[in-house]
Amino acid sequence: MKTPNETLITGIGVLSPSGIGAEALWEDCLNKKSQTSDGLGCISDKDFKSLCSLVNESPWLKKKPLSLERSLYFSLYSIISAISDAGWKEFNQSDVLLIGTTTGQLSSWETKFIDLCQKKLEEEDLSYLDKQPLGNLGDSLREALSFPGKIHIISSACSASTQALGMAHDYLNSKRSERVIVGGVEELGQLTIKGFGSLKLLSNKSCTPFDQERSGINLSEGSAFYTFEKKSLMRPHAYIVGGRTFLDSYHMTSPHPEGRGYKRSIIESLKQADITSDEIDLVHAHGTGTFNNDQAEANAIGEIIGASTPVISTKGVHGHALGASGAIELSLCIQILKSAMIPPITGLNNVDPEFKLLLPKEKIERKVTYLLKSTLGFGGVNSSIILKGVAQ
Amino acid sequence: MKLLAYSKTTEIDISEQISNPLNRKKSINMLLCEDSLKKLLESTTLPVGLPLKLFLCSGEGELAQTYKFYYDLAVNQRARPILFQNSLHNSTLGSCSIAFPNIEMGATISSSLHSIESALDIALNEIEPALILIVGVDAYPSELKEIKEASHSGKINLESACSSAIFINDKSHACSKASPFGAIKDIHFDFSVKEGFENLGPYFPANGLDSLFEKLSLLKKEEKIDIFKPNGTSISYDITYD
Repeated sequence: MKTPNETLITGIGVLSPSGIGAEALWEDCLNKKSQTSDGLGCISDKDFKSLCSLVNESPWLKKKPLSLERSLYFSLYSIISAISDAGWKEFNQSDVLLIGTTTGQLSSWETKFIDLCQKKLEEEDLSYLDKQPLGNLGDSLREALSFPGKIHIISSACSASTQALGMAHDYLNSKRSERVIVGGVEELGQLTIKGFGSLKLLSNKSCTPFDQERSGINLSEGSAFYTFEKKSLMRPHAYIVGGRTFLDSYHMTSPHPEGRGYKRSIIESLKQADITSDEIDLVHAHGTGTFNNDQAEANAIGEIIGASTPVISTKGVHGHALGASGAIELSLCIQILKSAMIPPITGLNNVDPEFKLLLPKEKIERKVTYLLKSTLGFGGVNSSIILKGVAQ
Repeated sequence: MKLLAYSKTTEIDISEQISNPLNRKKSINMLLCEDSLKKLLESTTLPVGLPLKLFLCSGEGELAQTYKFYYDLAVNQRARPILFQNSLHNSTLGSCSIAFPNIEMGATISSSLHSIESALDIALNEIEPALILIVGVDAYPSELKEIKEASHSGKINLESACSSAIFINDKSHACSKASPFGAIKDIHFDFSVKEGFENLGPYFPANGLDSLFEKLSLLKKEEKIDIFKPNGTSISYDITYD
């Protein structure tokens, strides 16, 4: 029975290196099929062309963008898919759109800006720099969709979209809005590829979360958006029952080794959901495949959730989509709740012996009622959300 | 949500911190925020027992660090790790959280000219009693200032600065009752562009707090406060009074 604090997830729209739609990603996770190559997970040109056609033909598109900008079209595809899935007929003035992203419309300005730097900033038409502020993505979406409501951009690094999911839950609990569209988008670019490379965090092999030989992140791109409501005539996909963010206050890029902020985000999310850690049936971890992240997570999860609850990461399939990762991975959490099937950790061969966790290398048939999804971000931002499955 | 205190720092105010070699790994954004938060937290006695939640807002993000990263990449074909980590919008939040470890929750908001208002709108959803820190910062390297002003049709004189404010969302608390300002009950965004810009003088995109503080400080007990943005859009606040 639904309790007042539950938020309904009524619509889903997902785009990942596995392809267009949540089903493609789910199948790859069940079958341990990695979609990263040379350490990167990209949206294929074929898929991009297809989604652009889908967007441009949609009655939701009120003003066609002037150019096929990647993150704009990634977002449009996922938003339109979600609101269509939810059965919405039009937007309301009170609707809110929350977007989690780290780099926004990066490819719209990055290459030209690098050229500009080489010419020492001598250039006449610099209008592309208007795309550099993240807020421009919100403005572009407003124009394309004629969206009448509020648009807020959350840029809390890798926790951006997970934090946005928790914020959306708060919007509905506070009754300041009846409907929220929430999610995340990210596209690959030189900034992130060269940047993460300079920090020695990338691996050019497929990501191996929680493995004793894990060697780093596979960067990727994509988008996922959802509709959250308090009531709907449609059967929801799942419920959100808690979502909290806490800071490590420790280091600019490395997580606290004991997962200080991470543990608090889990504990406070459990409190908000009014459940205990024993009731969590599965943890979908951040599991990036770096030494520090996986260690911090394993320590925190082991302490709070224990060693008998399965813990998975799916980044071995789709890579790490930075600010969009929480949102993209939410789609897998929803599939787990619906199907009573827990996918294996793709890429995991030998569990790090330091980790006293249940880390499945093969899929498990098991009903999951409460699921914890967490992300850790640069700057020490730790976000957790708790999902509940819909009773059959 | 009631305003308790407000503070502003400009680049001139932190000239000593900028030239201090101990701060060589910190960006201008970080130094501005730290100074503004320090002044803010020292200006008021914080009630005990309420968690501190920080919303760090920036219209441009870590623009100077991003520019330096790309410049080094373009000219010297190298990616410097410190510039990359500092280029992410969230790095400013990370830096503040280390400088002020009693801040428990944080979020980075980047909604261009409406970054502060986005943060306030999200903060209004906080049901549990808390002290809400709203910080807005933008800083412009000399190489990009004119270019960025041109993107606003030259109608804004951009400044590098940080404004911060602390709010309390528990109206039963003694601190809230003691505050002379009205409480923000709701925020409305009007994205229709009105004719003409207001000439706002030195301005930065994440600067929504200066105008709000100015209007609240008048203590006129207005139930609606309207603030125009440089691009002609407007924000309207519903204010309640004890």
